[in-house]
Amino acid sequence: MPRIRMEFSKRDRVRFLSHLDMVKAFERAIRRAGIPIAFSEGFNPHPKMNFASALAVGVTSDREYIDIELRETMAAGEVMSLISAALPAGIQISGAMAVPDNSPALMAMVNRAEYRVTVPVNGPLDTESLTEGISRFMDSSEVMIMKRTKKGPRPRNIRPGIKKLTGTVIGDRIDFSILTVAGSEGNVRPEEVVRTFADYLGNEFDADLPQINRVGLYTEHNCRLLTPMDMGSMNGDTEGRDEGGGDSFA
Amino acid sequence: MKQFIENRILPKVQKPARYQGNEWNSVHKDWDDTPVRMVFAFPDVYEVGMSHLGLRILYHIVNTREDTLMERVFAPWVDMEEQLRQHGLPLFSLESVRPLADFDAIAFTLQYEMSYTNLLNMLDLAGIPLRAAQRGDSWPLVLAGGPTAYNPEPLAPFIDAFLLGEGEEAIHDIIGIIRKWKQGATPRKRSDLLKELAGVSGVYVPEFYEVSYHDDGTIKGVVPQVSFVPSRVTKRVVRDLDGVDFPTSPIVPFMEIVHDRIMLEVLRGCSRGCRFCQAGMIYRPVREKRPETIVTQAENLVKNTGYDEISLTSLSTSDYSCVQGVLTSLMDKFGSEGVGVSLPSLRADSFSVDLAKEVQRVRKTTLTFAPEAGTQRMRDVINKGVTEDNLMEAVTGAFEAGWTSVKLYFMIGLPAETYEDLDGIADLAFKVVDRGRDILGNRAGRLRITVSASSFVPKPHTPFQWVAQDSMEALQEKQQYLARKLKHRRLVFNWHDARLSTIEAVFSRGSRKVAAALERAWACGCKFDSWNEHFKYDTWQEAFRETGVDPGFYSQRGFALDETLPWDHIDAGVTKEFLLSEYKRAFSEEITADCRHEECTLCGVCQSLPAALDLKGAKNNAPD
Ligand code: SF4
Repeated sequence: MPRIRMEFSKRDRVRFLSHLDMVKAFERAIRRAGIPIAFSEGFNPHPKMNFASALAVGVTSDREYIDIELRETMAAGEVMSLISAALPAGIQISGAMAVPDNSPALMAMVNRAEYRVTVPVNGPLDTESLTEGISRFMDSSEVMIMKRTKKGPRPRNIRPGIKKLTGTVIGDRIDFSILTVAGSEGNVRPEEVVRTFADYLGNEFDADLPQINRVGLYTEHNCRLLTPMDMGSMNGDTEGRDEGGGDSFA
Repeated sequence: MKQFIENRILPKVQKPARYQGNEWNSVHKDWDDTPVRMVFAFPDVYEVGMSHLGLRILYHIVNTREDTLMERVFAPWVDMEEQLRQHGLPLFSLESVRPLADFDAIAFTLQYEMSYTNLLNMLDLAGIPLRAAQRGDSWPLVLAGGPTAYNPEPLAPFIDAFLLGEGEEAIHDIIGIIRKWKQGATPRKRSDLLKELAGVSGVYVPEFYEVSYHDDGTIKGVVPQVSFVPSRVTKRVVRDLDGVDFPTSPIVPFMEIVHDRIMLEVLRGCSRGCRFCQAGMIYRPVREKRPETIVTQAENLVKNTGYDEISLTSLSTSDYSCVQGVLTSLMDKFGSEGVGVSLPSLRADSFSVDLAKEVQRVRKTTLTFAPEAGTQRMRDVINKGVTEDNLMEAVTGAFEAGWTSVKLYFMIGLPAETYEDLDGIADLAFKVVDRGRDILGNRAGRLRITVSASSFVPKPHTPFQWVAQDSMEALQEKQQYLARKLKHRRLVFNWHDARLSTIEAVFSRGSRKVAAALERAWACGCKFDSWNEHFKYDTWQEAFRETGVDPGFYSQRGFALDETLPWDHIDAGVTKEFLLSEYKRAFSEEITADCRHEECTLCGVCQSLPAALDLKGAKNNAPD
């Protein structure tokens, strides 16, 4: 069955939607748009669609991904323009492509997530001392957090999951850039990184209400970060691809 | 304010999507370019309020007008209230994030008595004086409508004007008056506006009526104080359901709500005549939509919302005279698109089970029936036209079709109830269990029968409006009795909090005097009373004591048949003579037929209102 992969953003106006809300928003937009989506077999058929990764409530994103399966062929560009008109403000499609039937599921593919996290600074702090603090923090082999689990709080070392951390002081705030493991390799949440780093630095900034934006989702492949669109175009067509959007990555 | 709420408040509350107001199909109009601004206020949380069809209808009708905007507000959940109070922020509308006080009118809907404290709390959070008498010329007009407005008196001091009956047409009259008043000479006087509104058919302005009392606290009279209001206010009713505007682009919430699907109204009213049921009296006459209207509306609704389920709503959808044809057309049309049809309210008979079989490919859901009482005698008293045979045929059909769980609704504390009637509930439940076992055979392990017992609350404008409610202790005893009898592996018994039902009865049948207790209870922290975790029974009792209101006077007292009732100046179309005759027939265990299938029983509605029984697939018995 034809499969279409789309790249989309989730902006401020919809940042409080849960993953389930997003799933339903897409389901309904697809029906409004009249896209011939395929349904699963069985007693309780549901539309065949898969997201790359769930996004936490309150977090915006520049690049998320969804695959939908169609019951009849439709050009990726047409799917994109139809669904764009039916999506609520705040969710915007930036690219669409047909991907081969047999390409791996989004979920199984993505193993890195990149975030930008903005927090207010509490005292005098400049980029230089921040950077110095970060490199000391990153030198440690253990960054412990208490993880809430079904069996109560459990300690967990998140340091191996933090692949990159940089920060810049801009006026009275800090912009962090964080690369973490995601998906099949486990998840480290950006607010956990910022929280533990704030504790480490002695609360020189306020990690209580961080503004979090996901910059992208990737597959690390031979030390390069490839987006799901890159992965999909390795042997698929790229019709409907929005030029200039979605093809830059770290 | 908008930025602050989005960045500082919403991240801290549960379910921030409750307060966002930018859902698909929500309407955002230019504030400055729109002369009349209204906000629809639902005194419960978003998930409950957004499931209410009346909101969808009025929101659509008002926003279709160029000269008016209607936004929404719901009772903020306690965490949000805490944030608002802590930051000194007023309650705001969802669409434009504006303080409620900026609007010309706030229109509350009254769906159940136990939401009244939320109504007061919302006014307070908006910084608006609670009592109408304290609101000067610059405050918004506070309107209220909905089923419990049929006894407006407990809320009379707080509401400027009530609308009785259906709002689709009346809302235009009201907006017209507000608009004219706003364009009129300044300074604008609120009293002029109220005077104009009181002239609209169906509008009741309580401050123009004075209530006098006998020494014993019963009512001497409710008398107009001015010449320009009627002595009785008659409800509004729409004649032709096909002709009124029905929203086909309703708001599609982002978060899950209680009824998260298309709600397509197929008929209005019910004339089965259950004697405890207020809806069955106040929404008369029965008016059906044409099948073609329903199918066209369904098509547009699916296209405009993207929902995957169409619920055909009404008080009793298996009573729709064209239900079979409509179901078939809808399933033919949408089956292949993954859109299902559901029937929320079914009679307890085999016809209804056949319908359910048709629409449900999966027998996962529970089938619900409401025999309401356990013995034929009691069902005759309440005029529930269901026999044990009907019910047994229905459950047999259900089990044979593969359903394994069935829910049975009963009411306890009904007039003239004895313990034999309670035994009857248990007997019936066990018969259903036995039948289930026989039919399900080796799947009987999955059998689950849920028995749900609510407590009778006497409601205005029903044949049982005069009847005393059981005491709380009596109700609790009956609940315990049933709980003991219904102990069985295959049975689940649940019941409603009797304490809540007794307070509900006070506000169901109260006069203006109970308003003081309501205000006091709210001031002492009562809100979200129908949410278990927030219901404060002791605080309520204290509020009654402190304000000198004897709750039993309104709940546990049988009202005299010749007594002036607190709502006698409200005319729901059904005459007091009819209610009285039904009351008497109840106690002589005589049943009264449904005017859809037998002769008109002269309830008064079609005789006095500009509407009549209107069936599309059967002959009408209504008198001309
Ligand atoms: S007046 Fe007659 S036909 Fe009309 S609703 Fe009443 S009983 Fe039915």
